[in-house]
Amino acid sequence: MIQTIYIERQVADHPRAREVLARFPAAQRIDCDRYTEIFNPKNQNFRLQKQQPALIIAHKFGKRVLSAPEGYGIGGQHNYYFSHMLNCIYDCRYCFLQGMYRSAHYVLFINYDDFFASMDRTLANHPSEDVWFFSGYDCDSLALDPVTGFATHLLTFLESRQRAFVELRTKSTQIRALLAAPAIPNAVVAFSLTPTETADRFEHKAPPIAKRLQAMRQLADKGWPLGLRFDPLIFDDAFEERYRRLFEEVFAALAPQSLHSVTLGAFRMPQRFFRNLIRLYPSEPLFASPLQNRSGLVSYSKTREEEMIRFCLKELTTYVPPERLFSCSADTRQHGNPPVQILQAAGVPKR
Amino acid sequence: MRWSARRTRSSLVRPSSGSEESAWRASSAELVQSLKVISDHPGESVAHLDLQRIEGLIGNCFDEIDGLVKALQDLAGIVVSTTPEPYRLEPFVERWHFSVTQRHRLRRVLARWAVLAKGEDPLTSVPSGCPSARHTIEALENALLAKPLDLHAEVARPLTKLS
Repeated sequence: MIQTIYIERQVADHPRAREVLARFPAAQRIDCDRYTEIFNPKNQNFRLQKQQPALIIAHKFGKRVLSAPEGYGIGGQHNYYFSHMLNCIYDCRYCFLQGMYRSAHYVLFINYDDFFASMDRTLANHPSEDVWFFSGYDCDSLALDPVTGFATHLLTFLESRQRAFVELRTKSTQIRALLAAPAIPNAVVAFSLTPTETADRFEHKAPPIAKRLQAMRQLADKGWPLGLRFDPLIFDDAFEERYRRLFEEVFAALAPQSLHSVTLGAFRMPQRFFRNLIRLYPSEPLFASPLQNRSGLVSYSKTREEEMIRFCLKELTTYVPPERLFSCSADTRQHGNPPVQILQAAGVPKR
Repeated sequence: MRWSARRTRSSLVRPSSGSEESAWRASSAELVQSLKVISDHPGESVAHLDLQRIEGLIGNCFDEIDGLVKALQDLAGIVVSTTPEPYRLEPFVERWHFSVTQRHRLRRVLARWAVLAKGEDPLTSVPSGCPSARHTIEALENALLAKPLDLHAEVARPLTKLS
């Protein structure tokens, strides 16, 4: 799988780096001073690099825990995110990473303890309050876990920090570390899901929806809180039919009681990233479909987006209580409980 | 191509200063590679190198050079093969006056047209009495909006993945 590994000289002797290198004995190893020498140069082609990404082992300096966008969250007051990895082994056509990063190489920051120390400092800034940390913004949280072992370290950290809540966002079925550990209430394993045809069409290399649901069931059986992330919602003429079938499939596999939260978000992306995506995939119909620039984010029209969210909420409230539903809008860039008017329009009775 | 001999080892070094950077400006880094066929190394002098010997040394590497070129061509094909043929702006700019901003918008809607309505002439969707560039662009955008949208139809596959 990995044929080339770049490694920063300062971490070359780190035990974790050696473990990773030992997993790929045939890989060509190239030393570097900083990962940015490989990752940041201009004029790289993300699409070509996706043919055979390299792995870059590095040390993360500077801020390791960042504030989540205003209003973003799933019920918590204090929301942050962190990225122990950059880039993802999957190749989802709609993914913003290919618009944001110049390189498709995977970067693994192996100074996990520094991330945890940053999380501790963040917790100290909010004494006696719960704090949410979101993982999976710059990568898939679990896809490379057999290589990184990050989940095990994270769970150990979380066991003694009941105020720290983590969302592990993933499409992966690499859940061995979670199955091997006792479930803890402050780690939510959140799976991104799209209709099966949509996953087949856009989510290259990612496990099929049925496999993800199987993994979710295994986790639910062990008591892990689960999240459903219907994000991005992708529109075409068969939108309602596809998503109705998806919801039926999901709730045939999972008991609603196993769910911590369900979130929705229509396809949306910063304009600058979207332009890069068009350059990379000029023939992709998704990028040519009716999208608008709304407040710097490329998304569907406000009307279309509201219709999509309304439809999904109406369907989902037949399965889960409204207080577990959250939606994200391109306009407000908020990720909160759906506004009352949308719930009412969706036929959800006012509480 | 200029060659200069360095009195280090047994080989000549082709100076590539500037040429790689120029190539990067015209392409992406993955498609610009340097292959050192003859490289100096400390153990041998370049004094015994002559044209015949150089030809021989390079000739021995033709298979490697050929392999590298083929690999780069395959990579380049991944990018080129999926770029749709754009519709020309001329039929529109000859009929209506487009500002710079409107030309960008026109270019964008025609690029979308090439993907979503391939083979259909966009001009046929513009009413003959269309009064302005703005109305023309709106007519094209509305025509696209009215078209059936099936994102799950089979998309033309790029060249097969490199082995």
